[in-house]
Amino acid sequence: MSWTPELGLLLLLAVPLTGAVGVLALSRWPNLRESATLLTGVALLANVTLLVMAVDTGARPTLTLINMVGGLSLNFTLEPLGAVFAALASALWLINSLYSIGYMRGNHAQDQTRFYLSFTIAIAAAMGVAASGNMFTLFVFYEALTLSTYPLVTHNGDEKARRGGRIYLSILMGTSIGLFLPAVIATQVLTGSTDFMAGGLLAGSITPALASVLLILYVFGIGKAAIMPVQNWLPNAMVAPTPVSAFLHAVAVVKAGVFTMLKMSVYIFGLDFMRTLPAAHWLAWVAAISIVLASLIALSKDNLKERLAYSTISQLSYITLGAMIATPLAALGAALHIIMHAWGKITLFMCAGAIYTARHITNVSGMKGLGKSMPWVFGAFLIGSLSIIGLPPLAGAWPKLMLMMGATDPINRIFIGALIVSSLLNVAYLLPIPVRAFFGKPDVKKGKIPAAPRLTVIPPVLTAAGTILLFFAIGPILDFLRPVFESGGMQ
Amino acid sequence: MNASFAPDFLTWLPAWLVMQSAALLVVMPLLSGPIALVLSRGRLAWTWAIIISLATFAMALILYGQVLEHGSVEYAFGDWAPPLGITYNIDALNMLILLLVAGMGVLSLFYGLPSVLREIAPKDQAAFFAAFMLCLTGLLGVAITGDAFNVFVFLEISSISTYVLIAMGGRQDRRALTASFHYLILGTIGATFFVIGIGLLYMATGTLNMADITAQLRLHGDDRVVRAAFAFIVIGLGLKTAMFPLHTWLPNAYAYSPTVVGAFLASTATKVAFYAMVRFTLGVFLPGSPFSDAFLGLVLAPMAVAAMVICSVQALYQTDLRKLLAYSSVAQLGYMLLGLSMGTMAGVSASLLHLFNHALLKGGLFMGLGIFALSFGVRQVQDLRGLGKTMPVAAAAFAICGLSLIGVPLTAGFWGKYFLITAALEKGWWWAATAILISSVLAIFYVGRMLETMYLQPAPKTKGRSKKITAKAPLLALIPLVLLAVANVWFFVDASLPKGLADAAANVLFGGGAP
Amino acid sequence: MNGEFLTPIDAFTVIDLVFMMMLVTVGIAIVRLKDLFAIVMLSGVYSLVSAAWFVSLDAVDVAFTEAAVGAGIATVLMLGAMLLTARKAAPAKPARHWAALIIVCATGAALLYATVDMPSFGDPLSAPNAYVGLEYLKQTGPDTGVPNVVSAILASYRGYDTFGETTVILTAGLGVILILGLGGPARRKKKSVAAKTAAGKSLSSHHVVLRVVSKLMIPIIIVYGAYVQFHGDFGPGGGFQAGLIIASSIVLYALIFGIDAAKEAVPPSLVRLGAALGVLIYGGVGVINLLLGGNFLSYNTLNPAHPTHGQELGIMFVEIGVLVTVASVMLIIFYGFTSRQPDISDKDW
Repeated sequence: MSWTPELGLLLLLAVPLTGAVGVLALSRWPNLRESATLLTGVALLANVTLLVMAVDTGARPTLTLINMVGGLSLNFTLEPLGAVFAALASALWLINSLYSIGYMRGNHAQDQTRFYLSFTIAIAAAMGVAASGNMFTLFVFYEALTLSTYPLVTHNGDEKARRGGRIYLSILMGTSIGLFLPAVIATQVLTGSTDFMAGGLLAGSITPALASVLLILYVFGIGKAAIMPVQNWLPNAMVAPTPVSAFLHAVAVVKAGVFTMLKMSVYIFGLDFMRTLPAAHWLAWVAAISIVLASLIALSKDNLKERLAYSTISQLSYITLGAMIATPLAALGAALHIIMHAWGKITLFMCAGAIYTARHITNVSGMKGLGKSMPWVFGAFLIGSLSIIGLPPLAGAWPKLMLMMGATDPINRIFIGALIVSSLLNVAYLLPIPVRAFFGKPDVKKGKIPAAPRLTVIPPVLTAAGTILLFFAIGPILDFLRPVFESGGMQ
Repeated sequence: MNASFAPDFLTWLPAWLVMQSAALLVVMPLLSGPIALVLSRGRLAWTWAIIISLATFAMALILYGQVLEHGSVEYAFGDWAPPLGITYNIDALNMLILLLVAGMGVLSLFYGLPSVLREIAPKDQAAFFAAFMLCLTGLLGVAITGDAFNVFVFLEISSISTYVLIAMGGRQDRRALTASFHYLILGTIGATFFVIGIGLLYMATGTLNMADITAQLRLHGDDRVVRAAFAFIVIGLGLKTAMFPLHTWLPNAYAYSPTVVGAFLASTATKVAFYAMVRFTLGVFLPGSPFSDAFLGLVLAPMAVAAMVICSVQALYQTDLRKLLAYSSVAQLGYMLLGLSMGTMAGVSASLLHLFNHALLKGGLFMGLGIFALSFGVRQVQDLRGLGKTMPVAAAAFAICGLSLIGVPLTAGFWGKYFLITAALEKGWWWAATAILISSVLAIFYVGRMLETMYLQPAPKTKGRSKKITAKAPLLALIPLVLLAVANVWFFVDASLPKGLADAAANVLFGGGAP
Repeated sequence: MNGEFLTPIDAFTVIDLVFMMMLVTVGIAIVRLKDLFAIVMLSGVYSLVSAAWFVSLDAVDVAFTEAAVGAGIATVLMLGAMLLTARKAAPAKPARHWAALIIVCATGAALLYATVDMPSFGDPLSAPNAYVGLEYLKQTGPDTGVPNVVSAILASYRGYDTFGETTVILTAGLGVILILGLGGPARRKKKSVAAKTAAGKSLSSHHVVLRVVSKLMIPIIIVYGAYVQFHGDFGPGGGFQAGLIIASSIVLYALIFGIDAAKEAVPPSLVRLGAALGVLIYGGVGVINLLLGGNFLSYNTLNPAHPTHGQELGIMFVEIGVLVTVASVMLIIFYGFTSRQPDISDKDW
């Protein structure tokens, strides 16, 4: 049987789920178990690469998994946006798996089988989100992602982890069931379908007032996008082991959130329709405020992971902002930001984890002068930071540029200001860390310096290199994504 | 209903069996009760009950085949044609309930043996199974019959046996006796209201056959007697359904009854009473009359919403696990009542679907608790600590049922809520949709608390419950639990059976006229 | 509507009103009294008065049942239950149950609301009298050959309901077995001879009159029970009432000669069997009908050549089933209560 795009869609789920079975079956032999994880990652990445190539040639593979009651179906349809998300998630998942092995072994973590099992199931759910052909399917996998990452967040099992997990689960499930679900149902009731459609499913078929209500339900219901005030789960989920944080906050969960946001904006409402909705403008304001506020909070955090968490909240709102401004250029910028931010932020998280594994330091203030003993790690951190700030020649430069260019209308111009302020704040809360690490004097007396396990160092260096690479690879990526925002994406 | 599904197994069964399946469905478990009483040995009576319950379930399947083929089945007792005689009338509406009750009967019995051997005194075990079979009989009898008074008779069989079964928890916890007594008093009041209602209906129409009552009401029209009958019947059945605020008997009754009884009742008893309410309010009384619409919309709907919100909050604060689930049951009954009170096809269909799913998941949850109780004496939420590791299979099944209770996608519980919200939005009842969502979000918290304790807290290291011990749940009890958990996933993926039946049932009530 | 039903007052109306007043008075007295013995007796009185009232309303079968249940066996059982507790009710705390009051008033209001549209008493055109009721009156003769329409309805037309009711009674008995137990067989064998004679003596020295009279009465009661049983086809009566009557004869025996004597005559294991057996007899008739090719409880199949004979045969057997279960369950309840303490001690009388 030869590979077809349709088979590829099925494999998106089948490969990680088979991997999960493998992980479970091999739980008694850690090395084999980790091989199963890595094998899964490689196979998945290969599959996604083939799919991306197929989508690039104009194919829009579609596959109905299950026809359900009430005219609903679990349907996969891959279009460029989804393909990009799938590629991003599967690539970073593979790198992150490598890193996990180093981290988990380096920290002698408990229940590693459960950890890898949840990890593989989570990537299956993320693939489901990426390939969803309608909002209902997306919702189902969105929930599956929440549930499968819950054991990851609470992995440490202590009271703090439980508390974090409780907040994680209750905010994400609460918003999705309380707001997202009714929005999906209302979409189904109003239009008889939840399919993603070029130009927008709802466009023109409902009144702007009703559409505004729906939009508000969607935006706050997609809690994974962490727009304020539903952002609180994110810093609380930082109790998780660092690979989880990296995966959650750079790859799967938050990106699934903003990806959903973008899909909703482009295919459910339609960009043209979005621009006519007053609610979209208000929500853009909410996003802008989230950007600035979260950056300010990040500035005040000493714990590195917390600082990164608030930085993530701020950066996610860039994407929401782009989706709400809803000019093609802003939306394109938002889509790019999904990719570029992921590479930058995962680098930062993995560096934080590497520092922790080697030195058990979690606070920014304790990192002075560490740069000399951990040059690779802090080098990667520096590059990641610069990318997040948006300096060329690093990947993070493009989306900010696009977002600003997309916000040049008079009513949106104010948001450019928010982006600039935020970038300045990025500088303020990120750059001092590597700078002090390299140039500050260590206040800890020298003892035997344990080296970070190699597997925790190589991945961040790889991703840091990736951010440079992506800066130059912008042309093909733009060509790949452009159909979505110009001709609607679905052919 | 889709006739192409009609199974051809009916053709290779003896025609006699097919013809008599309706009577056998109820008569077999009924007669098995006294026989079990005579057997007087626990295991022997259990084996007997299992055989009969399996046969009963087979009868339900045969009936299902007939309903698929013909749409409805009528069986006249004593060969007396209605309205002189009593008939059984089976259509899609009660078929759903019959399948559910008969199926849960089988599962509960399989599940029940280890716990009964533990919880019931040896000399009483046979009589216990006899009472169980009579309870099953009563529930099936209420669901299947087409005669209003016959509903009352079988309601009494099920109620009295239920009081007894609940009181049997008294060996574990004396509070079972007061719980049973409380339920007996309220249940009797409910039954009295119901029978007054039937009497009034008889006064107005001169007949007891449900279809005939409807026909007479059509001729006769609406008057005060009929309205009073309506109110009495709804209140009477409301007590049995545990309709808020008539639910006060339920939490204690579920909490202190023997585990198998809790599991069986939670998944069937209130469901059958709810079915009877649906049948009477929409099937017997003329649907769409101004009085009944007003009653449904102005009395039932607010009560349903109150149940959904208030009892969910109450569930949040329970420390006793079974009470927690019991309050959640009252809240879930609120969902069903809400669907009924919409008085639309979509609403009724959704509430029946929710009924089916809720029976599966609540049965599973109670069974899970029973297994934990059997192994570790678990009663409080905090007792669940560490069970995720010590009893992985049972805990996983319990967790799946719990997620289904919240209504997360990938579990059957999702559909009930999905279609209820859809129905509410179609009717323009946005407040009802909001209430459903609020209640669902509350469910996240009370279910989450159980699952979190189960998986994330270490097992207490007292003797006999150290971390190393992986308790083996009794296999006989575990299998039904796992089956229910699987069913909860399966009926998400393919909900066509319950959804098809629920739609057909709503169609019977609204489209096809009188049953 | 027929003119004569509009007469405001006739003799029967007056009698009915008197009965109703009596019922209300007795009801209030029961609520106000604290002496349990008096309450039990008054509840018996209540039943007797209502039975009399039912007679005046031409519902003789109902009256008979009410008398047998309410004034007969229920009173005895309540006495038995009372002996297990104190003789006086604990003084209730004065409390105002407003919710209960509101509910009772609402219920009453609903009933009053309905009365306006109710048919007047005895109206031949009212739905119950004109429709299926009339049909029963017409059809019973040709269909079943049973002169007593009520019996025909109970045992044949709506025989399945009666089957269900018999099961309800069995269920109640089952409940007593499970919750209270039957107290095991007679304990006489275990007792020493001395104790036995002492007990015998105390009994024989007291209540001589009672013993003699009851010895005379009990056979008569049983024969009367049999009469009621088999006469049910022709007049008021049937298995239900007969079962109560026969059970009360044994209760009487137990009251006079001691529970152990009664248990020796009718052992608990037999009673337990009997409760099950009655339902099985009833259901067995139905199953035989099934096997003979009819529907459940289709008595015609018992004698296809003469369906009315089949009906009579079927009705007779199911009535026996009812009798066995009812009598057994009444004894189960009695044994259940009395076995909660060693014996009905002499000073309680």
